[in-house]
Amino acid sequence: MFRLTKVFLRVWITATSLATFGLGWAALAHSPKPAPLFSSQPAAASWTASPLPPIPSLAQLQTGGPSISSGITGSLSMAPSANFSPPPIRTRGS
Amino acid sequence: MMEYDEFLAMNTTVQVAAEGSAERLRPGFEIVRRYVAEAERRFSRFIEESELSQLNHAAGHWFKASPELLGLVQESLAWHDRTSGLFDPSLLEALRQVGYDRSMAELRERPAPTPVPAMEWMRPRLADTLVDLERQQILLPEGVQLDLGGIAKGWVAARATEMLGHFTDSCVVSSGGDMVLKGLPEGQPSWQVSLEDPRDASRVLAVLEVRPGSLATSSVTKRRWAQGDLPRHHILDPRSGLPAESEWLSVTVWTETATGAEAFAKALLIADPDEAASLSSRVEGLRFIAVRADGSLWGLPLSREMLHVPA
Repeated sequence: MFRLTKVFLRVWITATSLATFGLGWAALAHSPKPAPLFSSQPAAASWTASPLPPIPSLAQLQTGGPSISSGITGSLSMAPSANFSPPPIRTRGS
Repeated sequence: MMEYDEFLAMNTTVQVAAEGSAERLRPGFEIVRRYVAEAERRFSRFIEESELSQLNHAAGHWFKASPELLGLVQESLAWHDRTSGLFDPSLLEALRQVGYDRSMAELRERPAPTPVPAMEWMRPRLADTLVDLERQQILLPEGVQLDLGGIAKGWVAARATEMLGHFTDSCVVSSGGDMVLKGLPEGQPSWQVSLEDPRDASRVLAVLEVRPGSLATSSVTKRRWAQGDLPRHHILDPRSGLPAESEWLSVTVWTETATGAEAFAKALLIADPDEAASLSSRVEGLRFIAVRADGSLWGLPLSREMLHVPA
């Protein structure tokens, strides 16, 4: 009698353990999966590349020869015009 | 009729021009003088009791700031970011290291001593500064010390122009290298502004046609001194902590805002000329004119519009 009870208890404990494991596995398998909170890139379908506007290159604004400012300022290597009177408002480095 | 006023403040010459009768403009000029003096007491790093000095002393702790200082620090941070860090008002310690530890007048009387051997450059973390607008507080990270000299001049010129705008429709306030222009002179399509030759301050290199907005010039030939045998100037490259080695002697920038013009004049002067075009494209409408050592003027094709062509 004691031997039968012992076998029964073993079978019962094993069966309930297996059943619990199976239920837990099934529950986890169907639970929602973790997902990134932020997506670093937009969805491919909504993202289209567009060309950047061209970057203009630097240009020399006046030349060493007769230039648009030499006549008024006599800058560079030319002597200032005697008639030139610069505007009193002046921008200077600080 | 254009009326003028000129006075010394913020270690520079402040120039004011406004259209109208002398009688009507007199109180406006007086208000500008008082405002500039008050702003200098607030923003100067050379005045121990100034609000800026107190903020610097409080680095590492929250500091309750006036709306003016809060606004200026906030704009400084925004331009620091917009110029990829080339505009950096947190180089006060580096400025002291290269000898600029007192006003320029004092420095000329008593030259800076020979530099101590340079340590490895540790750039201050300005971008980590926190501004709490609700509580009106600023938290400078430890080790960050601000020098708002240049950008404060632009800020002050903008506010002074607003104040003077109550007395006239057309005026200019120029504070050192920073100028704000409101309205237009009667019958004129633009303001005419002399561009000083950075090689010789007594000469004018060109005349600029400037529309209302802000104009700022940064130069490596102003505020120069010797530290031992080393020639120094005050435009520091934040990447090295040393005076910038620029191909250009000065850069003049026009933008809508005074603080933007100041920040980009410095950033373009420090940047490699190859980077200048792409850097300047970050602000819509920005125009700049750079002067090289040979006196030639450089800029974007759009900049040509700013050069006055004699009739």
